[in-house]
Amino acid sequence: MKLPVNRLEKTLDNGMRAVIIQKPGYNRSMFMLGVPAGGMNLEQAEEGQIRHYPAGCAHYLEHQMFRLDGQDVTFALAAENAKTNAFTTLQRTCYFVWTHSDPLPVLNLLLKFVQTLDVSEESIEKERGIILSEYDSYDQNPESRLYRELLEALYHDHPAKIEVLGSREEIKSITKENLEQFYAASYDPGALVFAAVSGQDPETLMSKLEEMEKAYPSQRKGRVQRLMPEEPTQVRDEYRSVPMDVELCYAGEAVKLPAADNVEQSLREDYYLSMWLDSVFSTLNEKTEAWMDQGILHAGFDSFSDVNTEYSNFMFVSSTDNPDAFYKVIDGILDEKKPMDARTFESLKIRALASVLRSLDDFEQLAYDAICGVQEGYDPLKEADLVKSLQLDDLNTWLAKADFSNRSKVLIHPMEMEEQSK
Amino acid sequence: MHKISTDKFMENILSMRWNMDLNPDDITAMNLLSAMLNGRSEKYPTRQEWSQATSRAYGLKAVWRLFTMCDQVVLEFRVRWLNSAWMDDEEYIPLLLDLIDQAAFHPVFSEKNLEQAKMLHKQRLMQLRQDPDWLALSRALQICQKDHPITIPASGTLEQADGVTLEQVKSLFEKVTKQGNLYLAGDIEPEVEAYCKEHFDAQPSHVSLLGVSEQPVREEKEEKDISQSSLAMIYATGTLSTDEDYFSSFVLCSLLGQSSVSLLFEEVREKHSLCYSISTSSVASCGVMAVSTAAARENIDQARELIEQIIEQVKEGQFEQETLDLVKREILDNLSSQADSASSMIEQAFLNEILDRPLSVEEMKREVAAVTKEDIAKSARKLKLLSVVEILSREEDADETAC
Repeated sequence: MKLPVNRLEKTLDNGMRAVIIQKPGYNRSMFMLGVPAGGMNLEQAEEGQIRHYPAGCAHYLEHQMFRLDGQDVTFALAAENAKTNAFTTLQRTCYFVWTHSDPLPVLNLLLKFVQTLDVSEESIEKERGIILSEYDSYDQNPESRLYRELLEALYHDHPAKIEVLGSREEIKSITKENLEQFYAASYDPGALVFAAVSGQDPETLMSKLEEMEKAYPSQRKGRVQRLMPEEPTQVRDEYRSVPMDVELCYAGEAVKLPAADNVEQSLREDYYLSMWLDSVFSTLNEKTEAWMDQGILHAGFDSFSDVNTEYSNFMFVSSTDNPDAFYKVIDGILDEKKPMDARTFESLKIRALASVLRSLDDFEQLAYDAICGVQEGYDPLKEADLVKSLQLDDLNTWLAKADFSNRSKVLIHPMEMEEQSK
Repeated sequence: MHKISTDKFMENILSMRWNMDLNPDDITAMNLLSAMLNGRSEKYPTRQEWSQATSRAYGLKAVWRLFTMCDQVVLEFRVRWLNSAWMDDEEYIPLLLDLIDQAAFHPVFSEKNLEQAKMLHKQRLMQLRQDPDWLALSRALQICQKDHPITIPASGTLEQADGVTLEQVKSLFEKVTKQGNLYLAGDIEPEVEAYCKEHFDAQPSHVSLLGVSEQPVREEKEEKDISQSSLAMIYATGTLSTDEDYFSSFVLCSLLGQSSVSLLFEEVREKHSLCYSISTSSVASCGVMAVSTAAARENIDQARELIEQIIEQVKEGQFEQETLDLVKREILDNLSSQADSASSMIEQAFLNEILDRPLSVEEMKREVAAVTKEDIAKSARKLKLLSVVEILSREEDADETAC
């Protein structure tokens, strides 16, 4: 399917891989640098040596990176009419900048501040209070707390369960040496992926990028590899109960799946799973209305799936008046594994295709998908073709074979409930 | 009708907005009306049927929502759909028109749907109340004045919900959906444009603004079992959206807490490491600015002192010209971004119309560029604190920590 974007790709002399996507008619330019290290990088093989890092290291470093020549780089970017932000996931860290003015000075600054480490004991201490405040803001939010507890209940040792920020104790313990070692291992220019989404001419941007990157030769000879411990198939906890100062109950049930064997399989299975979840746990299911009427599901109920080659899981979440009934509904869905009918499949397939087309207007999504595509080995601009190729029989065959027996339940409940049960 | 023609977006947008006087007795009923209008219609009376139909229309989204603007409540009907130029599907446009028609003009008003809307609305309010940041800000707005529309909670109240009747909801729907402001953005299909011209009574309406007045500062504190405390401070700005010094006030708000180089961010977060987020927000139709932050309980007093100190410094002109220049550049770049967002273009067109203050992006850029340091200090001197609310994490029980 011919999409309304032009794309240019290249591997630069220092090994950095670059993807430039042109969006004709737009004033905006966005540049993103992706580092192949995130919350799960707790143990790495680095040129023959195994190194351990405290949880939260990738995220702490992300906070530190906005310094250049002893100053906050936000000011230098603002002087070029640009803004910046960053995020850390379990698998990667991404830094991005955007502007509607001349993009070249902004590009230069991004490359400079990500590929230059400027930390001091003082800057690290200053950031500690800020990150602890960020931690507290997620910790007291029942929905983000539910999500975190579900992952911790699913996994014994796999770092997919790790809070990206680390625990409060880990945040307090991170040292300058941790950050310097992590940076040296993970931020080599040859390991980075660059993505640009811009109205500007892609050939010109690529040429400028190549020129600027000459200042950042690769220092590493070998690849750094994230190591994953053995993880049993069974979940760690089948049930967890967490009291919070809330008025409602928040219930979640998660299922642990084996990681996909390869990228192609993970992309396809992610679609099968998310389509099946939409068919059974959305307003497309005729029973949902009754569940809402009975207070089993509240508005905002949702499901999530995460299928990749390092871990896979999915979950159902909702605030609820009746947690027992919620779990009964979810267990029923998981036990039945109802095959999808043709009408629902066609509706969802059309919707999935539309979603891919819509994402072409989202600069941040386009850039992030480009980075993931390079790092994981697939072409995100072929996603529309992938959706078109999905077949109902294949989905139902996958569903019939899938094992949904490894489940964890978590309940966030008002504090009075615990006192009553005591 | 205001049409913004461009083929650069994948989606087209229709936005029809009606407004009427904001009445505290009706606000909850208006919220329930908005909820009842979503997710079903006469032809597609269950959520499942509606979902199936919209999925078939390439994920079309038709949403009713409510927001307030000074002494007006605005009910918006918004539809987003993929540009049909991407579809090789001759059934698409007829389906599109059918869904727009159903969503806009064929609501299902029944006792059952009202009961469900009440239940969902109560759940939503309870969820919002659990967020200390939302709680602090909404309480601070409620107590910042006596008898001003800004104190009316836009989400309605739990207490009012049970008393709302079906007749009340139907009557409100009839009353509000008369003339309104209509916007189309994208590569609009001729059939859709013709439908809109025929069925929506688009006569631009305007609102008059009502500023808040000075009062003795009201303060509230509440304790909860939470990880960190929230602080909200409400100021009267003395300036409305249509005033001559509006852009000075606009830049001031950004300088204080919206810009990436804002003074509060630099002082409270970057210099003192007291918080992860601190920001300002503006309700320019009422002449109000809010400052919001969250921090550990033991840091809240210091955060508040720093906020007040920064504002005093700005009143005296004690801030860097360079910082002001950076903030203005950022605003100018944001204004340039409007052309890359259909939603932003619609919002600007709506403001221009409803305030009867037609301003092009270029004119706004000129106004911002012309704001001086003295203008900022002058605007800051008009700031008057109205209310402060703290939602505090409970202090540790002394018995638990004694050895």
